[in-house]
Amino acid sequence: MKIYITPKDNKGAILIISIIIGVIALAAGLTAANFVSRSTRNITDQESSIKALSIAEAGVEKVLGASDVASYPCPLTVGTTPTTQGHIPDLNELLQGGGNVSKSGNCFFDEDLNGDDVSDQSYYLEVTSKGGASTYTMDEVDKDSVLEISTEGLNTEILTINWTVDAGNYASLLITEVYKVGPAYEVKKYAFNPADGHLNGGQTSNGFPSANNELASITLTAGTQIIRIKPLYYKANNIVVSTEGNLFPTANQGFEIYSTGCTCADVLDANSRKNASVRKVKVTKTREHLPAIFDYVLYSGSETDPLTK
Amino acid sequence: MKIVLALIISIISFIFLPNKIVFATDTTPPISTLTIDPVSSTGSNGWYNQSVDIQINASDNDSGVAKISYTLDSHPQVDKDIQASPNLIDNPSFEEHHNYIPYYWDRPIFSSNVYVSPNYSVDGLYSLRFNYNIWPINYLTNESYYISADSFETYFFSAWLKTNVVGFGINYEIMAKINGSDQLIYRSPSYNNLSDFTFVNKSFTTPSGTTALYINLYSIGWGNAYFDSLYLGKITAESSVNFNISEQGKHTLIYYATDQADNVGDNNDEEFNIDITAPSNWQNFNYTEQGNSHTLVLTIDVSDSISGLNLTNAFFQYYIEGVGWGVYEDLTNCSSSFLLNQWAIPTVSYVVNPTKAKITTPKIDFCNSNWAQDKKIRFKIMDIAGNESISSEYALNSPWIYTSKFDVGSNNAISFTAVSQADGVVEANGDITNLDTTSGITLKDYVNSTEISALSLISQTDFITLPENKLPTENGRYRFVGNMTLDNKSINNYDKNTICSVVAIDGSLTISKDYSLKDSSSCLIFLIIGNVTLAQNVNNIEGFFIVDGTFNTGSSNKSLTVKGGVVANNIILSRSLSGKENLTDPSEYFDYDLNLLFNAAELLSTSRNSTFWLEL
Repeated sequence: MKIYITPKDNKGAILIISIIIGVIALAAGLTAANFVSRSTRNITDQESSIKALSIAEAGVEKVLGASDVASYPCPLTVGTTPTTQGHIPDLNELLQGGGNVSKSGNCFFDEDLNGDDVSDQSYYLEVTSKGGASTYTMDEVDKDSVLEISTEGLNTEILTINWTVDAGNYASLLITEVYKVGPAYEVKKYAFNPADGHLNGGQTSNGFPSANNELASITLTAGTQIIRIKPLYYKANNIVVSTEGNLFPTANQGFEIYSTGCTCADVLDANSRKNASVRKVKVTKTREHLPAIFDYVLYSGSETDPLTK
Repeated sequence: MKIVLALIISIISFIFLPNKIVFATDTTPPISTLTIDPVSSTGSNGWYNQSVDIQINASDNDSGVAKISYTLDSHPQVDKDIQASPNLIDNPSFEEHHNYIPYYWDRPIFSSNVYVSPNYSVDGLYSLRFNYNIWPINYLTNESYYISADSFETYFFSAWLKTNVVGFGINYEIMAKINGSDQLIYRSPSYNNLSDFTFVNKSFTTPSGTTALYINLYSIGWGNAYFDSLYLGKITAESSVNFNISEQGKHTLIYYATDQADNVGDNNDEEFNIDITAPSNWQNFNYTEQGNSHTLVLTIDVSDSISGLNLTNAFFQYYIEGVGWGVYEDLTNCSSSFLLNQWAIPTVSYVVNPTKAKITTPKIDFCNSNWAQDKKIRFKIMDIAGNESISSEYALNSPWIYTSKFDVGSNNAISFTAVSQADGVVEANGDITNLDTTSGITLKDYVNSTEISALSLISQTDFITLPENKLPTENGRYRFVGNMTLDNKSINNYDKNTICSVVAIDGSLTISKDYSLKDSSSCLIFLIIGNVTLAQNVNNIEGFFIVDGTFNTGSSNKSLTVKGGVVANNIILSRSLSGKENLTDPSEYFDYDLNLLFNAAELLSTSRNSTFWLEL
């Protein structure tokens, strides 16, 4: 039996084709809408993430900018002893006894950030003294910059200084110790290359002793006050200065601030953090010290003229 | 027929061969030797004055060399694995199979109880199992998948066996195809009761006419046995490692080799010395008058920390303007002949035997007291290894400087005519000439990236405006726009009060009067955009000067003492003392004030140098 398709029968085919085209158009439309929606959401997420970072950074600025109890609006606690609610004392003074300072609850801004409602902005602060422990750590110190650490009271203690270097960028360390003899200050200098074979990125040997796998050791002098650590040639990473067991002093030793910012009402509440962005920053505030240029008694900066006499 | 014949031979062998288990047939350790290039020392007294190339050779004719090990002095031992030849057996661990029948191996029809098993393995997932409970005579061969070989080649075969067979036990044969026929090269002893996988091995050399090798695995008895991780490879009989040693000093190199059967050769050692560096650290140049102002005995220290100093190879010569470099035939008589370009012999003695020595000249008459006439001396010495060093030229009665406690640096070279003295680190982006340091730390050709700009430091913090051309009366940071002159009026009793301040000057500073700070709690830091000039009459000042322009000590024949420090884009050291005072006194003395580190930190500890951000 033969089947003939008449023009009348074609009407069904057109319908089917129309439906198929419609479905394709709908699918394309939905895909486009989904794409736009995703893009918009990504942009929103990015904005939210940047905002969370700003909140975390603003929390740190609040701490660094606080000069006394009255100037800080966020309540912190020292160990288990709460300070005056709503205020933070000068951190250096606060941390004289070592230990940690942490926020017992959320900190809220008392002013709008980007014109938004402050109720969706919170941050949480943790502050730790750089002293009061047998090790002092620093993530990195730039080439020719100085890290100063108080060593007062660590008389004749053997310090070990461990650092890491980037491959091929072998940082040496110049260490200056200032100590007191009677009322006068005196100074000692030490210089270390990293491990054997890591001589200053292939430059000419400088005659420094090689530390054993970037682990140098010095014996502090009676009356020791400070050490200043300066990386030469390249930046030094993960600096860890360890005593034999005695604790680094806490007075004016600096502190670390961890600030967690959230685009939510309560950064400490998991439910509040849902669908919000959370970012965290760490800020190390070292002991107040003079810049590295003060390590010179005489320095000529001219690139064209030698220092002559 | 061949298989049946092989089985019969195997059974007979099991019966008549002693049933002794020998796990390793290589018991001879490898031999190692060392060659050094250059063959003999290139310097003096047995020292090399260049790096050396070392080659350690090892040989083992049984299982072959597996590893060469060496230790230089107290460094960690270095192990160099010798690459074994590749395994020539296909499917050596029986990992490839179909329904537990291994690929690349054949079993006779009556050995259906030989199959791949996951029960135990040395490597991979499977081993080959002989299940004797069904039929006590079993056999496997890779004859059809033979390994091509040639005559007189040396090979190493090994396998891991595990069995509890009761009866004749299990063994293996190494077979060769020679001129078209099969020939037994080696039949292992029979093994029983190996509760754990046990390593067995055999090294052998192929006979003449060999074209191929293959392996037969046998079992006769009741029980179970497993073969795994078979290996057949050519022996690496001789191997070597090469390396270069440039580390200076006296060395002892201990070395030995290990073969594939874990036999360890004897320790050998080689001693040699390398010193590439000439003597250095010419320092502590000094001289004393001998009867008149121009007859002097001159001394200098020199060091060589590697091989030490050769006291019999030290010399000196001197220079007199209009005469030249050399020595007078009679050193104390300028009327004698001048021996141009000749050197004379000084007295030399160890300060630290043998690494530091003091060179002392005899009396030398420099002919007259005209110190405006150029007079210089220089020395040379060899180390024990034969490296020679010539010192800088040391000018007599030229002005020199002394810096205390902290460092001296230059973004270019440091070049002084007369020997100057520093306590701290000496650093230059170029050569360093005639600046000794008691710290022993010098950095030549060092590119420093320290921030030295006064303007930059000013921009990092806030200042109180200083309305008048006067120093402040209270602690703090102050800024003055215009040129300032420090005199009786502008010092403003700063020297009579305990004040610690930073004074920024958008202009230049002229100092026309001596002054000092009141006590150790006082400080004065100048940040100066322009220049600093000292008047001739100024001999003692205090403070730390960071100057974007030029710091000029001022032309004078009086000594200048700066208690503090000077950092400037240009430093002009203009002073020279009168008479022969330059022989003993520095013309400029920069004495670092360590109180600054404690008094002024709060004033200039900027967030840039003390705050470090890190996103977690």
